[in-house]
Amino acid sequence: MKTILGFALLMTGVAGQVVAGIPTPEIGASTAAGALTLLSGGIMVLRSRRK
Amino acid sequence: MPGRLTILALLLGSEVLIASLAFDGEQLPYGSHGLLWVLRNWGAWAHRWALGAAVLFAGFAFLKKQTVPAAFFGRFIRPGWLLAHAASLAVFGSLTIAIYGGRSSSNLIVATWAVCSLAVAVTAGYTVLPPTAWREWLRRTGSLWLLAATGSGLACWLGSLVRLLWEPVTATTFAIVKFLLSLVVEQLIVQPQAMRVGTANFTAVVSPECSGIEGIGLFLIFGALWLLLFRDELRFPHALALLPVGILALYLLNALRITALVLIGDAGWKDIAVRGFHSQAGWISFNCVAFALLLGARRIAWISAVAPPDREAAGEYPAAPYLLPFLAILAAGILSGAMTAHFEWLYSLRLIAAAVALWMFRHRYRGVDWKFGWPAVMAGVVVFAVWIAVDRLMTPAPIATGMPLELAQSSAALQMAWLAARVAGAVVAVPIAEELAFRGFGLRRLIAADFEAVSWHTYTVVALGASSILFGVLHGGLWVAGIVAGLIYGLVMLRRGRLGESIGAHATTNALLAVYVLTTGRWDLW
Repeated sequence: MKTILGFALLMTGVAGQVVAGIPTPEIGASTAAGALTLLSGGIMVLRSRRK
Repeated sequence: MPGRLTILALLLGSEVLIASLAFDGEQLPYGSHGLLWVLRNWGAWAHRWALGAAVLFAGFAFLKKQTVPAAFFGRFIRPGWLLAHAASLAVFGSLTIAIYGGRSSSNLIVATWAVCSLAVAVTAGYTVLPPTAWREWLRRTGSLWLLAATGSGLACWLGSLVRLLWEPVTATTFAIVKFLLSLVVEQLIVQPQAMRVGTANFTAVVSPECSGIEGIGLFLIFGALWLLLFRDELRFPHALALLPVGILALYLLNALRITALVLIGDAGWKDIAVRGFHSQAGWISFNCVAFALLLGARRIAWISAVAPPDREAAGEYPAAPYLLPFLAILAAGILSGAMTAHFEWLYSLRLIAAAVALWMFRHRYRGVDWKFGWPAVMAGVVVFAVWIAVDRLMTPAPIATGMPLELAQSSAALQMAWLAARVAGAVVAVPIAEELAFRGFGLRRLIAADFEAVSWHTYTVVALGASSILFGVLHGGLWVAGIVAGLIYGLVMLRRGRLGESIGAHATTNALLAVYVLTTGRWDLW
């Protein structure tokens, strides 16, 4: 069950990258880079919590 | 220190991301023939399929850890193959620029480019492990490679079927926007055939690209990766509910975004609506929903398999003092960008955000030595020289645009105030925030999870290189100069073991750059 779930999640992610590939002229590389950096940095802060 | 496969994933992932953002099949001529036609029409699909197959293979192989040879968790990388990778990447990059820039379209060049792309991937793989280890992994995983390739093809095909949803999804978005506007606008203009809605002053067309589907796709990637990586902390199948909830939230926020865009345009700020707000609001929504997913996964007992953090006993977040000033500048930049038409009047928001974050954590910087000496200043001068040299190489005939028109036409007092904030940001806030993030945290975190225990003198080649590459990539078109700057700032810090040295060097570079911009009119460098 876990194996199937894991594979299904991975395929969801792969399908998502196709959906996300639809060209959207107004979203430039710089806006994407800044926003994704912000998200990544926030994740690093949250995951750094001492247990 | 991260294992070899993590290094490989970071290396290739960042290269693929840069290439994907910088180049688009639409740049290739429409009437192409031969291999160029294949590249234009099938290049993106091949790229997505290959990426998906690699993710499926690696991800599923790691789900079954016993199939992964022990060598994959070692630390050594092979410098000879790293050089070969750099060389193949340089050739690949040059050919990519030539093909996508329209300077070359012959079958030989495109075929060479395809071979180079394979060489880039293979040399990256051999950088972390020899061919024997890769063959061993393939042997242990049996027919997983075939399953991954088939699964990726199927996922790409299923994803492409989303085009069938464009019309109903766009129509629904249009209906929601029309409803929301009807609550506040008396005389609404609605043209269903053209999907146009708005007021007498400003209307917007809800096109399929604005329907919210792209954000949904990005959220699927993010959500699926999150659920997979942190599955041990989550209850299944309950945690799967986060995906449809997040998708619905993003979809509704997109409709709200379009509504707000119309209202901003109607209020007289048409340029802000069409330019700044239109490009930034989507990312603001995505980040808000993504963070909500992270926090919800942790705090909702029905979803979380671990106890929620106890407020009183909650451990501190060691990375926060190092990352939050930089992230505050980024967040303020996004917000400021959303309120910008042509000129960023609200740049000072970044300065204020950094100052607030640094003030909040001021007691946590006791272990940081802020002092710097003349070697740091000299290093900053060297970086400035490199920056200008790289700029001259990449832009042989630069155009000095001079002060932006909006600023030039404003009062002298407003000009001085904006320039003061801009220079203060560049010379004080940004160096402190970026050095805390990339050298203070990034370089040391790549050495050990308990980065605070890592001495300011300690480094590894991979940590210094990777943190410098990340630093460079964030500097856009001048990424090469950015990487060199990251290396020099890192070495300056390591030499005396104090962060103040790299901050001093960075501040010197930015100060010289500010003088250069203001005296030559090269505002594009800012």
